[in-house]
Amino acid sequence: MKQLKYVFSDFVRNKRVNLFFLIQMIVVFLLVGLSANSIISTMKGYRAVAAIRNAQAYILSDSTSDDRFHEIFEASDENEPKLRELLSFIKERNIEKTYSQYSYPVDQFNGMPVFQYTANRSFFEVFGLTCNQGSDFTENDYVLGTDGTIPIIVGYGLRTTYSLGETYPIRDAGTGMDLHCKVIGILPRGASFYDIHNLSNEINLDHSYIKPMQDGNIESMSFSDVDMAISSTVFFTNNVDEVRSVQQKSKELGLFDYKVSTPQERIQWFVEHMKERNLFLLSIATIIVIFAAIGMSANLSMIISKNMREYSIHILCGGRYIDIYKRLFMQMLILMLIALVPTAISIGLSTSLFVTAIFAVMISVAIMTTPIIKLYAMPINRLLKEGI
Amino acid sequence: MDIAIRLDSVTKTYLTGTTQTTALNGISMTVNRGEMVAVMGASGSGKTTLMNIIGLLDDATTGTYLLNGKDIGSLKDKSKAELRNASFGFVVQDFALVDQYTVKQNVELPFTYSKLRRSRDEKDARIHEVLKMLGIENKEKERAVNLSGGQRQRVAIARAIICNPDIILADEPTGALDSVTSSEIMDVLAKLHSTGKTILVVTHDSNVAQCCQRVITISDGKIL
Ligand SMILES: Nc1ncnc2c1ncn2[C@@H]1O[C@H](COP(=O)(O)OP(=O)(O)OP(=O)(O)O)[C@@H](O)[C@H]1O
Ligand SMILES: [Mg+2]
Repeated sequence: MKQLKYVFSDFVRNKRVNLFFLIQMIVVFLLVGLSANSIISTMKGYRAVAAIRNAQAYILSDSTSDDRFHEIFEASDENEPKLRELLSFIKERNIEKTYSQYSYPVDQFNGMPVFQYTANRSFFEVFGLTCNQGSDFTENDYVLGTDGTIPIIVGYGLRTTYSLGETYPIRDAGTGMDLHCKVIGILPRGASFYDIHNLSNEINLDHSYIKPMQDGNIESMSFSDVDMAISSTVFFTNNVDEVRSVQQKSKELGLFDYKVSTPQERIQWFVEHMKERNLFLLSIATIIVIFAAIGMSANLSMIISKNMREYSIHILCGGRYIDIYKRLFMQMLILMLIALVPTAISIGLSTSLFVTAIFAVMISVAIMTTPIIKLYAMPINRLLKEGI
Repeated sequence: MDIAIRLDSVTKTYLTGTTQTTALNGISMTVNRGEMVAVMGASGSGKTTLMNIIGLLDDATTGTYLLNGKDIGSLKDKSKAELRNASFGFVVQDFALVDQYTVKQNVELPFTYSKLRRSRDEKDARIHEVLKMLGIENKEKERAVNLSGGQRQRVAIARAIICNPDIILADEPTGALDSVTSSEIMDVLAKLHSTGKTILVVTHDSNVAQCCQRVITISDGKIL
């Protein structure tokens, strides 16, 4: 600890070298942190959709041409009942289960948009979402009630805005109807799910609340409600013909052109895409890290040779090599901790930050090895000769 | 009389690449406690090497070295560093001050490595006492780089004696100073000698040697 005072005096005296060193570290750690983050979130996304990945399931990808899409929308009054018919048709199919949700931004909370979700049973099941306060939706909640109160589950960030057990007037974003919603459960902090069409998109639910998609309620759903509900549907079934019949029905009704595909295809595409992206990131990071490591090593050697005279004077006064090492380690440690701050800010306190910190220690050890071995191999009298 | 330093057949060979240099070639000598001895000899004769071995900055290749009757050959690095701190004060030709430290920071450096615990007040009092003795008490906050040669050497001497060591090793302490300043510095060393310090002075200057009780002359790593 005695050496700490000399570390700080070195920062003050050799501002430029130390600053340059710090900047190199910051750049390297940021790159490593972002790469780690990207890789880890890819892996997380891949793992999170295990329920879909491992199941026999199908999705309807919209392949309607833009012109046709506009036509359908233009005539939404005419097409709205047809779309409802399609959704009813889906519900009547002999399909083990479907996963479906839709959402609207409805509000602001501390500058963050608040989302109103409407989700069916499988949404919670597929992503393993469960409340840690209050209770999850039960089967009854998915059936249109008679008392007019709709149960909602609230994200962690809104737990004080919508208190557990209280009832609030809420406007349905799709239909504009005023609802009475009772908070029955609070999700744990960081609860999230993945967009099945783009798995790199982890959707955090902290500033969201979710109402159940109720079975008998199709009549009151808006055009876009129904549209989003259909396009987000994942059909869990062994029977592809049932799914094809939905595609066929849509065509008959003069609605969207759907393509039947499997989520596995989407996942495969996503994995390939992310692999490419991550490889690209990794190779860039590797090149920069190698150059920066060489630079940092040279920089450290410069710091050491600048301080050689000081070190040798310390030895003359009763210091030892170990004191010099301690001082260098502390200097590195302090610079390293400061350099990790921008990475911590940009990726948060996460596994990726932990990975970056481990990398930081490794690279610090690596760049310190050469100068330390050099110093170690130098007898005191040579050090004094060079220093004094 | 008490023997402070005793060397028996000490040799030192340096190996650079494949060439061997014999810097010391069988040195046997004793220095009594409280003695002031001059070490003279041509350039490259081994004077600095001798001082480094005596000051525990370097190890002899062969031979024995007894410091206050104790064989230092078996000592660990840690004990040697402690002895450097507590028993020796070093003064060298180019002063060996950290230019960017203040006079005070330079002088108190040995405290950093001292085994003795001293309070801040004790340290300050000792620093002031020593600086006053050397006539530079008003320079405490000055940076070393801003001082004259004579003042710097006084700072170096202040640092050498701050932990009150028994032995002062001065390697050409006046080598970078003019003759007037040199004699002032020699007066300081003589004064320290009069307080009972054992002093070894390496010098090329016969005036400096005259201040000492005894002169050892080295040639090609041997005592003449
Ligand atoms: N670290 C070293 N490696 C190799 N050779 C060395 C080393 N240190 C000293 N020498 C050699 O040992 C011999 C004695 O050197 P030393 O520095 O002791 O001489 P000196 O008497 O102090 O000379 P000067 O009066 O010039 O200071 C010289 O030949 C020198 O080149
Ligand atoms: Mg010399």
